Amino acid sequence: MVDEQGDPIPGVSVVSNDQSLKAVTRADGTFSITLPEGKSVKSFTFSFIGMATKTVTWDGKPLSITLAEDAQTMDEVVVTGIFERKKEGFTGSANRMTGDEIRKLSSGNILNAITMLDPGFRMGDNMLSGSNPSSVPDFTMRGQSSMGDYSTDETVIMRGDIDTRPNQPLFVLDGIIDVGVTKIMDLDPAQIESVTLLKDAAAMAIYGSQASNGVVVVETKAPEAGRLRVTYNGNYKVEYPDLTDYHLLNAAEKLELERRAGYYDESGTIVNVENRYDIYRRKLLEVERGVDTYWLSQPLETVFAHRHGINLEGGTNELRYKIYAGLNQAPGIMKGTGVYGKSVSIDIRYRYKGLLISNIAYVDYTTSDRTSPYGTFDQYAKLNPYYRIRDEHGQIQQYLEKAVYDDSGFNSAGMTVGNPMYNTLYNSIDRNVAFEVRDAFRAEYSPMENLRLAMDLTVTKTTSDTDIFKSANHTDFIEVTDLEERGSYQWTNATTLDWDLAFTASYNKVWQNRHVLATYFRYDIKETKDHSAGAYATGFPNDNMDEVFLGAKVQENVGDENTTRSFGGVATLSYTYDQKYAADINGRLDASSEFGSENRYAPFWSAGLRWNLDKESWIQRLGFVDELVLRGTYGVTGEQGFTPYQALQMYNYTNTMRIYQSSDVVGTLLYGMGNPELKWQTTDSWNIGLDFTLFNNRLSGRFEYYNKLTKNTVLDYSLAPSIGFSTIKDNVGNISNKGYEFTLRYMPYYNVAQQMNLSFVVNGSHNKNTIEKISNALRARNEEQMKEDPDNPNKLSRPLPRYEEGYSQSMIWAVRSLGIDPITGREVFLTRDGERTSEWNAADQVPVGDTEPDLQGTMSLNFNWKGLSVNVAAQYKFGGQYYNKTLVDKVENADLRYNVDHRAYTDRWQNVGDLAVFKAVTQDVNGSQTKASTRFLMDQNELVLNTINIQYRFEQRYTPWIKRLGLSSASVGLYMEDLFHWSTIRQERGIEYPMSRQISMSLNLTF
Amino acid sequence: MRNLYYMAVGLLMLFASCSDWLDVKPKTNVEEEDLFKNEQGFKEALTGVYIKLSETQLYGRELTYGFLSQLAQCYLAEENEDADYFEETWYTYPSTRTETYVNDFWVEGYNAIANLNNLLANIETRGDVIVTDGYRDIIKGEALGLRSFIYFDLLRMYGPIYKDNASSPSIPYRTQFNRDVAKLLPATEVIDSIIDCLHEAETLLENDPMNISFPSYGEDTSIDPFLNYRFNRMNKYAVKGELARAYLWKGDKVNAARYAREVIDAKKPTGGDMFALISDNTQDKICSTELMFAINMDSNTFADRIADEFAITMWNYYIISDINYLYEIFDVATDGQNDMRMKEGMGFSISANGAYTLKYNQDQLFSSVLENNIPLIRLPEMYYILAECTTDLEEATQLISTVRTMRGVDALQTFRNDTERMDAIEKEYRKEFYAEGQLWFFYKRLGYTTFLGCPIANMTEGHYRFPLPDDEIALGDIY
Repeated sequence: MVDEQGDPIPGVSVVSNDQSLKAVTRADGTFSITLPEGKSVKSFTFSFIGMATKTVTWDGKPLSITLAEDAQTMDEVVVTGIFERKKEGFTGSANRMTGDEIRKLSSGNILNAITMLDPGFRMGDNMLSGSNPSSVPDFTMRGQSSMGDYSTDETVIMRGDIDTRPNQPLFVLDGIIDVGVTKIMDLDPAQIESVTLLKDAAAMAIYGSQASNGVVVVETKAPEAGRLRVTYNGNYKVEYPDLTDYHLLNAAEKLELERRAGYYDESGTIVNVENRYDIYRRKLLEVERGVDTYWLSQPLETVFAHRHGINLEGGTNELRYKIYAGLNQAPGIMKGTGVYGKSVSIDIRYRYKGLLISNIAYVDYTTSDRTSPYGTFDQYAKLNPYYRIRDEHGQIQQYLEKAVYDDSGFNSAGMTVGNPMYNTLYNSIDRNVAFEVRDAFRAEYSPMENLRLAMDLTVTKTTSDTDIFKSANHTDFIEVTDLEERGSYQWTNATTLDWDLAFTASYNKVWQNRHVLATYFRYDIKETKDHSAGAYATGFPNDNMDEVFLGAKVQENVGDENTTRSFGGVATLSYTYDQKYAADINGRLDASSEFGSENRYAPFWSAGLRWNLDKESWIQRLGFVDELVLRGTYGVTGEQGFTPYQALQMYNYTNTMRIYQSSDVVGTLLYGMGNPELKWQTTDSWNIGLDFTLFNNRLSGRFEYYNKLTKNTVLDYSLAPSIGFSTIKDNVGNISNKGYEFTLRYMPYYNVAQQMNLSFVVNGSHNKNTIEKISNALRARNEEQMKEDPDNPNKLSRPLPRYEEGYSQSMIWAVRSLGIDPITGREVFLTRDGERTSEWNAADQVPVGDTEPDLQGTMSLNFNWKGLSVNVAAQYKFGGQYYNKTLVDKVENADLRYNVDHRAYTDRWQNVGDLAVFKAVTQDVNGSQTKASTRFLMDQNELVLNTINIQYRFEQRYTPWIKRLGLSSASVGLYMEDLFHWSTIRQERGIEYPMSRQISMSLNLTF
Repeated sequence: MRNLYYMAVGLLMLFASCSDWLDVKPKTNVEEEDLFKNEQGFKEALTGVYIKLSETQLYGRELTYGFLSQLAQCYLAEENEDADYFEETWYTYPSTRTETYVNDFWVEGYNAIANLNNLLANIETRGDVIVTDGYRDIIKGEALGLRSFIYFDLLRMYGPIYKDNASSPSIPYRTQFNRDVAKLLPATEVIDSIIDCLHEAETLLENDPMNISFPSYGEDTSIDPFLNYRFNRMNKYAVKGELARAYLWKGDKVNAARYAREVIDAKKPTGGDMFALISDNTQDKICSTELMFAINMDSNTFADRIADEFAITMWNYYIISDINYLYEIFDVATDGQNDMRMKEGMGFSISANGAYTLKYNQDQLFSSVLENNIPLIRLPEMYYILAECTTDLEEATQLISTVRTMRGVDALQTFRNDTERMDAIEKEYRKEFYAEGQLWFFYKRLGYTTFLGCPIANMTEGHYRFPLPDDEIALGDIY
């Protein structure tokens, strides 16, 4: 019994035509059946997972059978990254998407496609970082499992920065566990074989605590045997800025707004009054001369990005190889930014009888220009349109405006504004260069029938240098006179070394062709070492001297180091009866240096059931059910949620490493308040799933309901500051995340003869976060907080507690607002008691909305006709609220000396009787900050047209002419991405880096 | 199956032996019990608190020449839009303008207190490892003294005007580092606790060696470096000086006078005065021999920061843009023209564009030991306290005149009544403690309804009393 490569296949089930005789092939692929006397057999049926079932007639002679791989049945395997599991026996929640599905939705970053293919996988907001190719987005799966404040501002993490976000899922690439998210983003989509998302307790039980936010398993294509095959993939993209969300003032409006704000009012000495008048007249003259600079477009350009990959593969059945070389040139739309990557991988697989050895080595070299020499985009959004870029000689001006001083040297009018474009005349760098080598080695051996032993060793070594240089002429140093302080260089070198050694054993047994028992065992041990060190130097009078060691003065040394070590074992037992019923159980024991010496070991377990209803005869009799599966898992998993130094009382030297005169030691301070009573947080999770395919593939879908109850949730419990620290880690109660996810696929038209089909896919998800129970300490404090002030019984001076049973963590808190008083231009609030007031008070904040949408997901359309395919995908979101902080910052809290949103001019209160949305104009920026009020609470309904993709595949059987070009197949595709964004919220998107739209063409040639 | 069995046993052994391998410790952190295993740990924990107090949110700026001096109207930078101290919002609470400063004093102050309480607890439980003779008393005495020093300033900032409203709930007084919320205590209880604690520190520091020297070059290597330059630590006389301040705040003039006199009369073991007034500050800006307690700043950053912050530029805060205001502060019209605390190149740098103090400009001092210091308690304050507390107006006049003559100002006529005495003392505080923060507390202690440069028509307790941070109101025990 061999496969198409001639390798023996153990474990193939052999059944005679009357079902009475059964056997399983041995490790060398042979089998024998003793025929009872007087019995005659006409044929045998051979079946094996991943192979097409074959029936062969028997004439009494020995048989030699070759089983072919079955593309259809390959789907039936669940890739968990550690073991491959038969889908029929897998009870967990795994969503597998093929490389083709992904390539249809994204021309670049495959994670974008995954957010559209799976409703539970979400990408964070990119309000600040926009389309910056160097920024690293935040990804989450199925809500936030820990308590905490998630309403804080978006943080921008760039390549080379340390990723501090706690809710990222675990990424596994070709068996390498925990690769960086940028490695997945940089993958050439053409290389992807499949991506599998694991979301429930079963995934946690396999991977341990690091998988608490879910697992993304990415497999690249394995080499194919045969003569040398060369494949070329290319993508050519035009990317252009999308500024439709910006509505700034023009020169005349801006100057009028400044006048209204009182910057030119007569005040102070006569000199002051004169200066103020002068500067106003000068600006007015410029406006009347027609100066109205559109600053937004200055740092932007339309760019051409391209990616190329060449793949060579081939070999014999014993030895197969694949060599890939890729080049990615992705400039960003801000001038001088971009990501430029080169990568090479070599994949060699050797197979001989029961032995399989494979090694995949990757080398990646990525250069990222993180910020533009022009500066950040918000600098341009701020500039007043009445400034000219160039002076009368056509030179870029250094100053756009200079403050005017009175006789004694004090500012009487205007301000000093540097021209950020001036910096482009001089050298500046903000670059990260990362070099990474990864190697995954695997040796597999079957010493006996049904037993497989494997060893995996993966090693990753990364070095990354970040260089940020600003020349002495940079506008940052306008006000610095000391030459030793002008010009700066920040250099950081970071290295990591990870290794992971794992031993796996798997054992399968089939009895009577009905009972299938599979067990897996894995033990792994690993270490991660991070180290970074760098220096900050200043004083670079000559801007060609852009090396950190040429600085006149070293200001600071920086660095960090961290080592974690862990080992763990996982065991899985799975049983399937008659392909109808399956049960499995996973157990794991982890030990890690992060757990602290008191609590070295962490156990995890999960169990699941699966019922393949479609195999039941009473369902089969219905006739329209192709697939119907009901499955469920339950598991208890643990997560520490804190590092050991948060349980122990630690002292820290970081800020006190200096000599204090009159002492002969350095200083040290308490790092935090320890909590020796801290317990692990554990999560009980339920996942129930239904998969169905009906009416001959016309309608299919998947529905999942989950309920995760996190007990003893660890939170930064706020303390009264008089205790000395503002927080302590504590177990504060139970949180549940309940939710559902669905995917529905409907194929209204399907014509086999024409090879034409049309299908629609809708998916969606909703997550509800609830605080189920709070600890006694927290309850006592909530009651304390609600106590009335004895001196002032009607005044509720303390804010409401935020951690109460039944509340959600995604709630928005604000003071209820009645709008702007037409008489005074001041805001009128409602107190907690419902009384009117004009004072904003923190104690009056109440829950007013929830950021979690009622439903969010993706709708897509897919049309195929022979080689042609058309895909359209759009994401939707509705029913949530949003606190429009950008609007607050850009309209009411805006510094009116700079350019602002149009609404700051048109919609603000001016005269008595105005029914305005925004408060009166004032130049008092610091004194009257607008704080959280329901005026800025908005319903968020959104529709984003993400992708339109048209592809045509040329194959020799339809288009024979391509053979003349030496091609065996070819495909051409057209992508249009981020075309259209419709939202009920009007705000500037892409603050530090603007949004973009992309049109690209892809080409795939196989020789 | 036997192979499997061996494998399982082997793996179990791996589990058992790896506990040490897993014991990885971060390099910048150390566990409490490891720190206090030896004497060095106690020294480091105490040193850490001094370094903490030198942060800009505390005595490194805001509680000395920064915020408190801005409130006391030491500066006039009215052309700088952000430095508009004449606006009422600097004195009315709550105000977004002052919120961060006021919160920081509380949060950072109590953090320093938490560090001291934890150090004190460890001295009790593990103090036996402090083996060097006298160290245990010194460390404990300084820790108690420092804690009282911080509490007293918190009380002066967040507490009531004591003489009018002494029973008003003021601040929590914590002596333990734990998570239990402490009640706001009446100012009377807090001041008594502070005084008791200072007395305990005084006893412990009885044998303080009081090594103070200002070598012009080199360093005296014969002195234990942990006990040298005592003016940078909460020494014996700093504690006594603090007692004088605390008794005066409480209104106990007898005891305040006793402690002020004790400091003024203090002698070195070798004879000679322990502290002495200075008459020429050209190379001695912070008056070396007057220093009872000064915080030592980071030598890498302090000089640059001072150079930046005190230059006459449009964006600076700590300057006087109108020379007439400087002259007003220093009474130049009547008798201040030769005052060394004001004269160009001595106390001030004066030019046509404005003036700024040279107190912190410490690059041309006669001893490098004096560089990078911010004074917290100085000898003249003892003279003023004694002058205020003595029943003898004649003696009061003499005390004030002693300091004045050393500064280059004429002696005064004997005060005819208390009003004249207090007028004179007010003026001296204004000149002597310019940009040191004490002036604000002087105004508050006496409940002045107005003072030089005061923009508020009628200053009341509400203007003098900082509000508690929102978090304390929400999470503390305030009723």
